[in-house]
Amino acid sequence: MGLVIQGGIVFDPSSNWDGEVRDLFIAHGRVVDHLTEVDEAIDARGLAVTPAALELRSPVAGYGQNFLRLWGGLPSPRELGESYALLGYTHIHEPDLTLPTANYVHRELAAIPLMDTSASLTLNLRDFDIFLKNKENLSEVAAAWAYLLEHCGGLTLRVAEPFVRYRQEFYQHRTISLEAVLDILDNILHILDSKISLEATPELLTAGLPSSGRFHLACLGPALVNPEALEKAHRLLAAGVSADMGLLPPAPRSQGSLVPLTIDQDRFAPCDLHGSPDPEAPRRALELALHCRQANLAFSAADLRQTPVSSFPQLFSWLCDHHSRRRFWGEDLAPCSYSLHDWLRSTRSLPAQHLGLPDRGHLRPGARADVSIYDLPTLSWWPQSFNRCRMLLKAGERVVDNYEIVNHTVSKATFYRRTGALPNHIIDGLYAKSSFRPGNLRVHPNPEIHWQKAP
Amino acid sequence: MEARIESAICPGCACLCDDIDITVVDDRIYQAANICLWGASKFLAHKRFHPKKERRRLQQPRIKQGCLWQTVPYEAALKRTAEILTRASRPVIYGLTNSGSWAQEAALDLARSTRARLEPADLAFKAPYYRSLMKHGLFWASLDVIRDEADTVVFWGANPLHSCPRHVVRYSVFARGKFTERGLEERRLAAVDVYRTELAEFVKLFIRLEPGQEPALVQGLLAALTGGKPPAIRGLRRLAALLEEASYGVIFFGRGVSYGPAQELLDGLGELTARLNRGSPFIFFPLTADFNSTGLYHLLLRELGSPLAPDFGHDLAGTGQAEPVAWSEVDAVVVVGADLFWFLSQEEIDRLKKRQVPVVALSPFANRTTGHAEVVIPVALAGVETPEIAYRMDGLPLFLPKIVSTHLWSDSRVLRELTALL
Amino acid sequence: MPAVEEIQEFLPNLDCGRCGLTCAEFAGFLLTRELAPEDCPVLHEPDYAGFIEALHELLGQPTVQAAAGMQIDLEKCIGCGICVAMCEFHLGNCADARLGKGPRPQDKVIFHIVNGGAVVVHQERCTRLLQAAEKCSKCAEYCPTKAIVLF
Ligand code: SF4
Ligand code: SF4
Ligand code: SF4
Ligand code: SF4
Repeated sequence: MGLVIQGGIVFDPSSNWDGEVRDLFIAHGRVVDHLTEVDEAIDARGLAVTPAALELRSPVAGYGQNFLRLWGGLPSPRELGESYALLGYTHIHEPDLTLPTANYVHRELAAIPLMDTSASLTLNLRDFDIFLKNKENLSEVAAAWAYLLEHCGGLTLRVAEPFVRYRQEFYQHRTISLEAVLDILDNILHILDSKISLEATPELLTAGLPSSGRFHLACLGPALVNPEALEKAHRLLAAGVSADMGLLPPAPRSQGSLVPLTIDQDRFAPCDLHGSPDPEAPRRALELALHCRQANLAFSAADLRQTPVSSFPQLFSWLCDHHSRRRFWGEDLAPCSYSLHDWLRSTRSLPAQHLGLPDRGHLRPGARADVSIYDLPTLSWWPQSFNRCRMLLKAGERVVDNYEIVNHTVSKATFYRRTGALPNHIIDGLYAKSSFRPGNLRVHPNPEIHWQKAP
Repeated sequence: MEARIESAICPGCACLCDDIDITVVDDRIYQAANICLWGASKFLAHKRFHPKKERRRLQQPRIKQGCLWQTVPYEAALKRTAEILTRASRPVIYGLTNSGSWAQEAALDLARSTRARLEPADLAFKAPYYRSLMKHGLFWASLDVIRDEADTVVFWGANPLHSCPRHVVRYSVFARGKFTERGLEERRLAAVDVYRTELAEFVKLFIRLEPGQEPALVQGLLAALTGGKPPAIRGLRRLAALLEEASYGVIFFGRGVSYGPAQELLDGLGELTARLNRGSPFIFFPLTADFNSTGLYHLLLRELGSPLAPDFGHDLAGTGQAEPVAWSEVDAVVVVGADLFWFLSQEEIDRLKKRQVPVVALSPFANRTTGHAEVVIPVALAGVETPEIAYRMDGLPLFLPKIVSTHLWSDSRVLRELTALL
Repeated sequence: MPAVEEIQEFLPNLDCGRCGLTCAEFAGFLLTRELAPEDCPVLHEPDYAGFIEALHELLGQPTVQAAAGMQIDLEKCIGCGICVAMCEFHLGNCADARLGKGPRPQDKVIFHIVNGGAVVVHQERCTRLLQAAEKCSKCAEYCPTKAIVLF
């Protein structure tokens, strides 16, 4: 099976292709250098050919997210998958998976058609507090995390609360400060030779991050609660820290009628999924994103409720089009906008990098043939036409053609990181405390899930 | 041939105890350790010690010809069912709270394609709960977190010792958790019910109400918490104090509440928990009995955006119905994972029979419904004879592997092949 | 106590040997409770529906499992496991029981739940025997059905 996409205008920031006309050869689901025999040709003359997009933060499957639907307005898994595909996405990433909820999250992800999925294992540092305090234990903690990552079918590591705190007074002696935790994390990540993403908070922005390059700041938007936070975020980005935007719309929709939906996952602060961010945060997030186009800043939206995938075209237009900003915000916010190159970088190259998927987000030989093709109008401004994917290939298979889903059952995989680590006494301790027996905490041999090792 | 299976999962109730150690001899379950009596009656198709609880298994599909039963192969039973469903204009698929998730998904597809209404067996219990959440919000946590944190536990119209016997041991009362290291001694317990239950053996504050008095108690508690003047109900003040002093509380409510004016009561309890939540975390938790009721509502919410009963015949799918189905309109019923005729009043049964509404029953056991059904399709025991997925009452799914084999079809297979036939 | 002949009326009487015995021998073992009606494979066939139940009725049930110092009435016991979780001995010797989980087969316990009822396996570990009868009565105290009688 050989396929060629002929004569397209190819944009691929990570390969430094900025609109060159070239043919793209595809065999066995991958981009190849050259093909002697071609079975099928797609005429892409005059069309923009880009790598398919990857969503870095898609909190659609976390424990409790489903309850959000009680208040209506959220898409079903099928609508989700299709909306993403029609925008040119092939992969979504759930940020919140834990040992007890791993099976839950993977089942929810499996229900979303068309999209490849992955999830971040969110570590609860309270589970490890006594081991974190002693440097000698850190390699065991690292081994435990490596084990958990594979065991839960996670792709990357994440910490939502980079500190150890307890509500219960008699546990106060177990507290570990944010600064100390960052230091400890840096050590563990060094042992693991891995990166971790930290949920951005005003507190974390103030503290700053170790300069090892092992930290990713997730979802900046809601953390920008005051000008100082914005300033700190600016500085971190300027220093080259990797991060994602966490864009959100200005006034949370239907604010008045929202009752709290709070999920307690045994963290210090239970999380209110209906929580409303600082009213100025959305503007700051957008400003930050505009000013830091060149930084290591990937596109992401804040949450499922305020920024459903249907709102992405609007978010994109704010980034890319100063007319649309002026219309909506009444001002420009920044003198510059995202070029097509910038936008592709923030929705393709950087997410693929952060997720550690080297064969995604670009179109060089060896890449998986996930290609999104758009009209490239000469007269109108480009952002509009990039809201509708004309054709989407996933591993060489056509998912969208002529702006419509043509294959509802294209195969989808769940990517996880294989670490080969074995359980140690820290893991035994975790198991002992759970109400489940260890065997039943294992991720199901669920026939609905097609597991794939991340390369 | 003897085999040991450790850490099997009991599909007896929504506790889904996953610590059942089983001895299988010659492909049948001979012994199950750690299982409660309730679970044993479901788990052990053949039991040694409590034969009086043994339930009769159905072995072969059968259909009614005139007034005679006729044993038929599965295909014939499916064909007859398909005919019934094609002829019907208001079919209902009833039950599903005691079915695995795969069967529930298959039933949802069947309901869609036959434009049927899908009626969860415990709708009268859950619909008012979800509607109360929509008004007052929700604080939610898994049973592990509840075990570790909750120092105040109230059972309202619930007798866990009957509906999910090990609940008190595993999660809510006796278990020692991270911040509840002394277990029972560390928890302040109360129960509210209209008659004395076994809970009174260890729950210090047991408030026994007159039937219908529950909403008054809730309003009284709200009044007491906001400094108003509560009515004179015995125990009210003590209960209010107990709730107020909680550092982390749970109200487990049970089916008892659906016998009275359920919506009013659950709205009140929802408001009460929301109010308590302003002080410290408080969870409002339905004590689900049927082993995968939680999975069903989860599925409905996820796929249709509403946890209420979808009605694909009225083009209202998506919004869902909170009111129980009007049986007088229904002209065909498929019962899966529930015993419909056990829930219905004699009057309702008589009317269904008078109108000759055909009933198709999928069940592993003989029960009241199979006795009345026109088509009886025996199915394998989910989670024992066929693998399935089920959600614990806190919404965490577990995989239930097959333990012994059977010649019977699984209910998900029956439903899928039925959908394919139509 | 029923006679062997009475029991045989509810056996297939095929002497097929699938249980490793003749039907009469099988009946004898039923009486001594070394075998149960379910152990006859033939009785599981649809033709013999109801026979197993009938045999159980005929044989009656051992209602009380006696062990020195402690009796559990299996007629009352619902297998909730409260006694297992609350037992003073288990508290120090079985971490799973402390947390409310069922003990593992290899765990050191006095009693555990089997087939929905509490069964004593190591009476000698009970504090009442090790120390003195008035030292502990936790299991009986919290049993919601009062199925445990200590003496
Ligand atoms: S409590 Fe429920 S799940 Fe646990 S053993 Fe009893 S019936 Fe089975
Ligand atoms: S298997 Fe049953 S019928 Fe055959 S000899 Fe034994 S008891 Fe008799
Ligand atoms: S506490 Fe009582 S009812 Fe529960 S298992 Fe023990 S003896 Fe049986
Ligand atoms: S008397 Fe005490 S030690 Fe003995 S079995 Fe009962 S609880 Fe355990």
